[in-house]
Amino acid sequence: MRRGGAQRRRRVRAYVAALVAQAQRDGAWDAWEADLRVLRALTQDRDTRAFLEYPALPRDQRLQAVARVAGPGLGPGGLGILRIMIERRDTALAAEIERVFVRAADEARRLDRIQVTSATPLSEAAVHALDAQLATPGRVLRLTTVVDPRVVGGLVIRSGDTVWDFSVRARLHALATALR
Amino acid sequence: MAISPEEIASALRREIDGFQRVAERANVGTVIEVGDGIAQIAGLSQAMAGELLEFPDGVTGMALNLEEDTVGAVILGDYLKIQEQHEVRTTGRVAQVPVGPELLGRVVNALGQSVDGKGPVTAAASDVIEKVAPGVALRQDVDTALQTGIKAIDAMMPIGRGQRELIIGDRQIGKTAVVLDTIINQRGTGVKCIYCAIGQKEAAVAQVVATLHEHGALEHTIVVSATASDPAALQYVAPFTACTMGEYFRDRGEHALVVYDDLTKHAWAYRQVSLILRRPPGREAYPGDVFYLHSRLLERAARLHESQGGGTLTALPIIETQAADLSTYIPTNVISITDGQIYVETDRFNAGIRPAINPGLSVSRVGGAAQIRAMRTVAGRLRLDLAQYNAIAAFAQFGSDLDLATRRQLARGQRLSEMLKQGQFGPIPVEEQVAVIFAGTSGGLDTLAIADIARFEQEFLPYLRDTHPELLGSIRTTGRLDDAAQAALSTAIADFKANVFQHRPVEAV
Repeated sequence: MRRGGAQRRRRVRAYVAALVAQAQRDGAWDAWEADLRVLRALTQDRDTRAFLEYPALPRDQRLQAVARVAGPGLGPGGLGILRIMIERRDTALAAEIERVFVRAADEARRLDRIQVTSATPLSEAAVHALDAQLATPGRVLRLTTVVDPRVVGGLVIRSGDTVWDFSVRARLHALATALR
Repeated sequence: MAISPEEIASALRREIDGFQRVAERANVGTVIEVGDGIAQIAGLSQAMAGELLEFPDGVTGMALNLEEDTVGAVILGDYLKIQEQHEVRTTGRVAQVPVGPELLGRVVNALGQSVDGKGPVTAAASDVIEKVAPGVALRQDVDTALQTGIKAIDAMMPIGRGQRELIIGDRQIGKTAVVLDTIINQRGTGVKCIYCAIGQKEAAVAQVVATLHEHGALEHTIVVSATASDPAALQYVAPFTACTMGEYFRDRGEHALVVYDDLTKHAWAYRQVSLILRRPPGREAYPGDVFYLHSRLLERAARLHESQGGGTLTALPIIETQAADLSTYIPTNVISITDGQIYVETDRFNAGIRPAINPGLSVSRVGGAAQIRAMRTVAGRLRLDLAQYNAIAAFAQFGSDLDLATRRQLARGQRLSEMLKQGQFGPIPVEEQVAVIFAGTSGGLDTLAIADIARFEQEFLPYLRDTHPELLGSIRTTGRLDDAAQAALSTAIADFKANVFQHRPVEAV
């Protein structure tokens, strides 16, 4: 169901508040995050959402079908959340819930996620050096590396929604703009 | 300009030398929803309102809704290329369009790109589309006329340079014809014109361009076209683009005229954009800031102070009403913003009175200050005479027992109404308007049959040009019509009627 912005945000916040409270109790932040990731992937497709919210089929039958498809990737907590989403016809909110939960969870755990993209795989020593350079005292750093040959050379570092682009691609782009 | 391989190589070397030292910092987001020319983007926490955003494939957008977790943006271009999960970057710039004299004679879209098949626009300058209007200290009173060449307007509701005059009326009764005549009449005056078509049919815009071309008016005109087939986002941006192009001339001490045809469709486009952005709907489902949308656009029309160059930007917004209802939301908004309105009426149009302007409901709040003195002298009584005529005309058709004064008023009113009729694309120079209106208000037409009045004007003006060129010349240059000139004009009218004009005299009432 398509809802207005404010109403949608209110509902997303309600889910996230409940999830954060539960994660604080059981400490299973990563497990909840993984479950939400699976739920997002499952509900991305409009037809799947229509199936999940289809009232003519018994709800448990629909949940069993999801459990079969998702297999061990979706824990009992995730299935419980999905049950509530189906009841409230909120399956379209899964992606937003995941996004807001990840941000709230990171804040609660004082976790910084930094993604480093390079044209070729980085050596272990380089990753360690980056880890040491980018870490903030009092916060946990989770560094992930991505290989993308399109950056040509250098590094692209993304933290949250800020990107520092040290790549050759960006320099070439700037050069092309300057020469135009 | 040709660039040698050596130059490219050296530029590359310089760039690559600097590679280790400089990093490009950007604020990015991810498209989470896209459709109908609108994208919802997660991230972009540092985006500014109105900032230009960069989508993949060179498509740009403009941030409009800044929310807690997301940004709502209109896509200025082909939104079908944008998909969910695409990365979006802020640019640190607000939307800009090319400006300058290179655009004159061109037809461009809302982004200033050529759509007339004459190749790309090669303007040297560009400017932002959203600007704050000049403040109080930078402005000056409007006191110079912008001649439309239409007798009824120049005589009764004169438009000044720097004024905002609304043209309002139902569909297909000559609103666009009024502004086209005005644009045509600016030939040789140095006034640059910008015609902005919003939500119109492509065929209608093509016809306007052809008309301007045919009458030699395209050379001093820029046509900004956001037609019904363009995305609503471009229709929303188009008048701001046109205004920026006009401001270029205003800020350089020149004079410009911008026509928004029409702001009803502009409000529709903005309503569409706002509803898709999930902004709360208000009256008639328009968003709460639809008044501000038009007020900030029309406030940019101004006459700048002499210390600022004394340039002017005159705005002629058009509003299309439904069944002549002026009390709906958008017409009342724009009426309250502008400095007067020209009300075009279906009944008059159908009765053959063209331009179908209602002199009773039309008004210019700048008034006589924007008229040359000669026109003020001859047209002073015109509006009053016509208003009295309209008031008694309704009663007159029921009985014949009318007193002499009433019959005189009726006869005068009928002749003045007939005199104010004017063909399309035939603007008349102001000195000739003065001569014709003088003939009407001084009683010179009272002895003519109503059927002869149009022919009288057609034949009298060439006669006057041939026999009394000094009289027209003096009105043109001095802007005055003193007693001696009035006497000479009366004599010329009498001579023409007695010796040249073939007609059957009617006894004056």
